[in-house]
Amino acid sequence: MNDLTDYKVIIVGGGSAGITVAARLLKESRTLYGKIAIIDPAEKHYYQPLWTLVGGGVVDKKVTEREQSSLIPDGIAWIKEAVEAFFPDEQSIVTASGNKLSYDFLVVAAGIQIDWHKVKGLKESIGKNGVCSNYSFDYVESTWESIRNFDGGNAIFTNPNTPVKCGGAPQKIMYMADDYFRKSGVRSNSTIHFFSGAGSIFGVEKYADTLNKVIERKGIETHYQHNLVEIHAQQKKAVFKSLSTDELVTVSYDMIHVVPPMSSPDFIKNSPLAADTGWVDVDPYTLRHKKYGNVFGIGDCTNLPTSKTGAAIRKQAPVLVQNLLCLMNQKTGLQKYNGYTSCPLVTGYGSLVLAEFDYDSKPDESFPFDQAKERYSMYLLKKQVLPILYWNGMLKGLL
Amino acid sequence: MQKTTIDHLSDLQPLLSLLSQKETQNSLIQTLEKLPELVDQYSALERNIAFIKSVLNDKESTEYLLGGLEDEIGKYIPTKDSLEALMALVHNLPKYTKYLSMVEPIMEFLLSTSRDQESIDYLYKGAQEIAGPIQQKVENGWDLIQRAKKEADKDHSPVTIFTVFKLIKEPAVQRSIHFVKALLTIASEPKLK
Repeated sequence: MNDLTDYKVIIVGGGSAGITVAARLLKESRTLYGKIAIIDPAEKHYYQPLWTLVGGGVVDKKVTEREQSSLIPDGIAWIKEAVEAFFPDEQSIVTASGNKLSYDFLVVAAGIQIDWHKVKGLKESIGKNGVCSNYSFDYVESTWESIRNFDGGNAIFTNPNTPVKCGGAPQKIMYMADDYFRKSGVRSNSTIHFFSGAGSIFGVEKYADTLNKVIERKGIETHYQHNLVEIHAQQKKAVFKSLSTDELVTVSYDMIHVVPPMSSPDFIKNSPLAADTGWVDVDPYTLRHKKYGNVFGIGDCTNLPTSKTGAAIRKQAPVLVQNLLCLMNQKTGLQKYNGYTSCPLVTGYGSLVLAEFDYDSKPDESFPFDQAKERYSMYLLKKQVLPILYWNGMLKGLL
Repeated sequence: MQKTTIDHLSDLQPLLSLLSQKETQNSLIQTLEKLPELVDQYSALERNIAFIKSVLNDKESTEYLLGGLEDEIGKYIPTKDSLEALMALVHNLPKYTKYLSMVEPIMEFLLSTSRDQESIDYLYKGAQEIAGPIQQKVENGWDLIQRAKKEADKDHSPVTIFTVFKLIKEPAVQRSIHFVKALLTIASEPKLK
């Protein structure tokens, strides 16, 4: 199957979005068996939403990792290569090894690129001497190390001014750290700072109200509109730039959890598929490319104006599949995505606010109770139920 | 009037014209090439037809075949009730299909989970973590009761009024008595009104 050079559908990216779309396409149309290819060089697949709890020392990171080969649906060709360039006018792509592959329909599900290099000194210091991050499988355990070994002083948590995957993650680990510091008896001789490139704690008022109360209760010092630009690992100092005054602020730290800047993958930025911002330029409702009608985009790599989460992908995938099949079979009945996204905001060990909202930042909740309230049940949902739904429901194209 | 040779030739003209076409010639060659195969197939068909004819003419064989079928089919001959049920089933089929389509992904999900050892291990570990503290409390309580029971069994000294007085002074007993006292006061409130 992998020897083909011409596919009915090519899916660029074998992450949450790529595999979900592939599985759903096969479920909806068995005639596509053997005619779809996923292009992705990664051998491993990660359930990243659990990394917050790995960083908090609650979950073993091994449970978040699976072999990609065990997840690619039967009937899908997996081409283990990176994409080098898109040629949408010719309906083809070229891989890193120079392979040219043609398609009738293209789905771009390439995820997001982490730009560690954009913070000076970060690449060299990450994972060592109190510099940690939940945003990498390789370094996520360093967060737990830093929290566990913290014996007072300045604990800094950052959030960049770029879009990030799971916008709530930068603050979740901070709330867990506060809980742990209290338990270990070091909270009284420590200060927790939240430096964020954003202007507020959360974009949806209903949940922001709860989170501001959590911050007040925990005595966390917030510094909005501040972007991390440099780390001096030797001196244990972090440099932030004020986005309103351009002023540089240097702060000492004893531990710092860094959320690196992120952007669209380079091979998309430099392609005809990208909007000015670098993201795949798609219609926010149909997920179809604005210029190339046989191209669709899904998930983190797109310019969809919503929070980049796995939950968003879960709602985008059925819409994309339906619309692609309508186009393929020349049928009507295009579906619309309403911008739904969800952010399970962990506020401590055993408490969580389940934020769910749409393009208009209006709550779009699943449960018949006030989800802005911190709840143990929602914490259990995130920790115990959602991973199972992901591996066995979402990636199988079922839920 | 008798036809002349020229008349015969002119009759054959359309045929000759058709035969002169390249496509017709190719088709004829292909047909001739396939002729042995066609003859074989025809012979086989002829044999089959002859066999069927022979069976149909053989009264005993026919009766045996039909008799057997009758026995089998007899069990399934629809009654008025079964026909009505069938009609109802067909009528409701779109509704049932809709329900089944809703249930199908859930069934597949449950099936997939049950086959996924990593998920089962994760769920089991999670359940243990949740149940662990509760189980510990229950075990501690049970242990306390057992120890108290053993102590009580060992103690054969007579219970005197002084033992009761001494017991009343225990803080736990005091708290319990205060609680009972408060409860009785609250319980009697409506009567006072």
